[in-house]
Amino acid sequence: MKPVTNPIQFIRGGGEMGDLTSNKDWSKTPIGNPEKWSQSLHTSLSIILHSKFPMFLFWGPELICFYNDAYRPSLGQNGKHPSILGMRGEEAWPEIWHIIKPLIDKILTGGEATWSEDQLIPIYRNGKIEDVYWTFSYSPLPDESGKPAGVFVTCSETTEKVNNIKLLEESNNQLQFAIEAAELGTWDLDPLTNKLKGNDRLKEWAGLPLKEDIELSLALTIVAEKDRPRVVKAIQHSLQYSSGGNYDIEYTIVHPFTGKDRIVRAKGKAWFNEEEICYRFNGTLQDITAQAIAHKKVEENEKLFRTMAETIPEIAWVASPDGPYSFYNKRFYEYTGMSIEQSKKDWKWKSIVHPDMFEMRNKTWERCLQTGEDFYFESLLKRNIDQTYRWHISQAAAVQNEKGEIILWVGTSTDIHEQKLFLQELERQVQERTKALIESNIHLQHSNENLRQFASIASHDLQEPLRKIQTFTILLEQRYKNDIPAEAKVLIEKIKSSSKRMSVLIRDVLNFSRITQSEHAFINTDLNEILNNVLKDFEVLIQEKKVIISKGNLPAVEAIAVQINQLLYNLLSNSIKFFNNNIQPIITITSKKLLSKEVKKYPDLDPSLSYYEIIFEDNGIGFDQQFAEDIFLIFHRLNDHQQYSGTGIGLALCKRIVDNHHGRIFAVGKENKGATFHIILPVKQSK
Amino acid sequence: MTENIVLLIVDDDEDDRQLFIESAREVDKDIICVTANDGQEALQMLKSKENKLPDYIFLDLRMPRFSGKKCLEEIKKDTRLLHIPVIIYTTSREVEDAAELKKMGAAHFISKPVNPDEIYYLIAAVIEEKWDQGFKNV
Repeated sequence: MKPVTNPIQFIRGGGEMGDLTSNKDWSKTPIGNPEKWSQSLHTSLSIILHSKFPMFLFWGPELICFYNDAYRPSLGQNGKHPSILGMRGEEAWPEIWHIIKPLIDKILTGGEATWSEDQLIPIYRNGKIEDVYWTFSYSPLPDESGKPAGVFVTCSETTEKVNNIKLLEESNNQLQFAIEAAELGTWDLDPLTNKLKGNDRLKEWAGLPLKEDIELSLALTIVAEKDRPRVVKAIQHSLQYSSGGNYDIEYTIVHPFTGKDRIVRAKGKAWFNEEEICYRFNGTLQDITAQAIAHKKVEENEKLFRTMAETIPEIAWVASPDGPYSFYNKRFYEYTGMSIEQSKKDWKWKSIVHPDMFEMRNKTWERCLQTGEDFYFESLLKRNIDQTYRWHISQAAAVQNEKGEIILWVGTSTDIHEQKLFLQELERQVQERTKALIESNIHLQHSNENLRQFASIASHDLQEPLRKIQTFTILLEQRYKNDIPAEAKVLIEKIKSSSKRMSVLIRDVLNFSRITQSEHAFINTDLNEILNNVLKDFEVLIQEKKVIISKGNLPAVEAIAVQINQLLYNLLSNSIKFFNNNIQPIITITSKKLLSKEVKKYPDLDPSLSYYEIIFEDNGIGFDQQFAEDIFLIFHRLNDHQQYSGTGIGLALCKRIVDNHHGRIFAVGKENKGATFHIILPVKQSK
Repeated sequence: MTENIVLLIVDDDEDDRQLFIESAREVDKDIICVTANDGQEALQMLKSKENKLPDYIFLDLRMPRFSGKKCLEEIKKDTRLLHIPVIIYTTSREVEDAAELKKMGAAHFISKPVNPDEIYYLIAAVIEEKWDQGFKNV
């Protein structure tokens, strides 16, 4: 037999490990040079190095280590490779020797081959001890004598697989946790058997027995009748390959015992095999009753709001806190003629608010948006149907959430055009009337002034010739008194008396025209004092006619003294004038304060003021009560002036004076029984 | 020798002027009465350096063209004239007028009396400067 020059040349083609094994200087190893190796070791190595399956060999009493390329990745980087080739097993695997030595020993002492699956055997690699999982088999390798001389290890690393299983378990746990936490029901249908698996929660909701699988037909009876056809249809749809298998539906389930409704959302996925047949259909069930009720409520509220917004005659709208409108009622679109698109674009209403008001309105609205205060603005808005502007009141109020933040604005615009026009017309009329009143007042003042001037001029101009008539009559009388026949003297007397009456008349007219001018101030005036002065003027006449004057205490009132003097003068002169010659003339002057209820009897008096009544009573000729009002008219005379002198102005003047003092005068009379004059004067003039 | 009293009567009414002059002569036959038909004429006479200034001026109020009131105003503006007592002698009885004219510098305000005898007493009172007596006639 020809000696082998390169005893392990047969290892050629054994890959990297083949080369390493061939070229190693084996002389320094316990196993010695390959020439001395047994044939069975050669054979075994040849098998190992040529195998693509990871293999390892412990050989001989020293358990020298051999391995192939396929095994190499399990040793990692910076680890045992390639140093353990040819190393004693104990030196090569110190970290696991205590695990594998018993296995090796068992095999070497004639034990059966072993099989271990996914065994954790941490090894040193990649610069550290790593947890590595292995599936491996130890089997005996006999030498020429047939006794086990080595242990043949075939192994595959399963670390990745084990880790994946671990991850899967973990994610499954997480899924279960999520399902629990989300309070989801789970279901899993086998379309072939139509059996349904469900978690406890699902069964509880459905009132189904916890332990058993459920028939799909039974499960469907739980679905509310109104929803059932829809659910069946959805399931059938999802089970068809063309649908993509997605399933998402909301329906109501009714608990078979309690009758309690539960609104649920089912989501799921159908899984199909290569024949496009569904083999699994599973998913979840979520209880959305609370959400659905809340949602329904919101919908109802929304509907209520819309119904309200659509039934009111006003334009109604909802705006976001920054201004743009999110809702308009139909009335808005009808009125403005805008489309929804236009209304979104023109949310400041530039096209409908009158151009003169737009800026102001917009400013006001923006201020409200900033401050949150209520919006109120009157403006003209253009009506589409006839392109006319009509007055509207626009109002809006902010709606706030519980934090006090504005979430939206609700507003209306009310057509107030008719009212506004009515108001404007009313204002115009009031202005017109006021103007007319002012004009007629001015006119009245003018005519009063004219009248006064006329009266004054007439009086003056009448006075001059009259005075001359009087003067020359007197001169005539004086100078020719001895030459005038008696008859002519009578005629001269008539001239004198007529011209005197004329003079008095002119003076009275002048007085009457002057009395309307209130140039005089109202001052506190003691009526007693004035009456005494007047009585003094009549002293001679009173004595002459033997008049008895009986006077009580008179009040002090706010008055124009000159005019009151005139008033008392005229009244007294009136009383003294009209006496019946046969009767003792008596004049009684008294006064009393008016009670509130008495004041109320006279509608033209101010009930907030105090009044005094002064009563002038005489027992003269009196008058017929039917003329009680006429006697105060100017130039009105009841008696002929042959018997009673007078101009007919005196009492008219009295009435004017009392009117000037915001009082009241009236007379009560009875023919031949006397007359009573009542003068009511306020204590103080109203401011 | 005392100089004769000179009275200026300014009145548009000839009758009144005549009645006034007659009454004045009765008071004192040496009284010199000068007359003017209206305010303007009166002022011309007063302003002329040749004429002797009157001792008293009797001034009617209601005259055409140049009223007595305006005449009074002019007299009181002239330093040569303002010391001459001006007696308003008028038909008017208005107290308001009297007050206003007094304020303007009128010495007195007299309503023309009906009885010619009263004119005599008036002139007498004025010359003796018994104003209060004259005033009673208003």
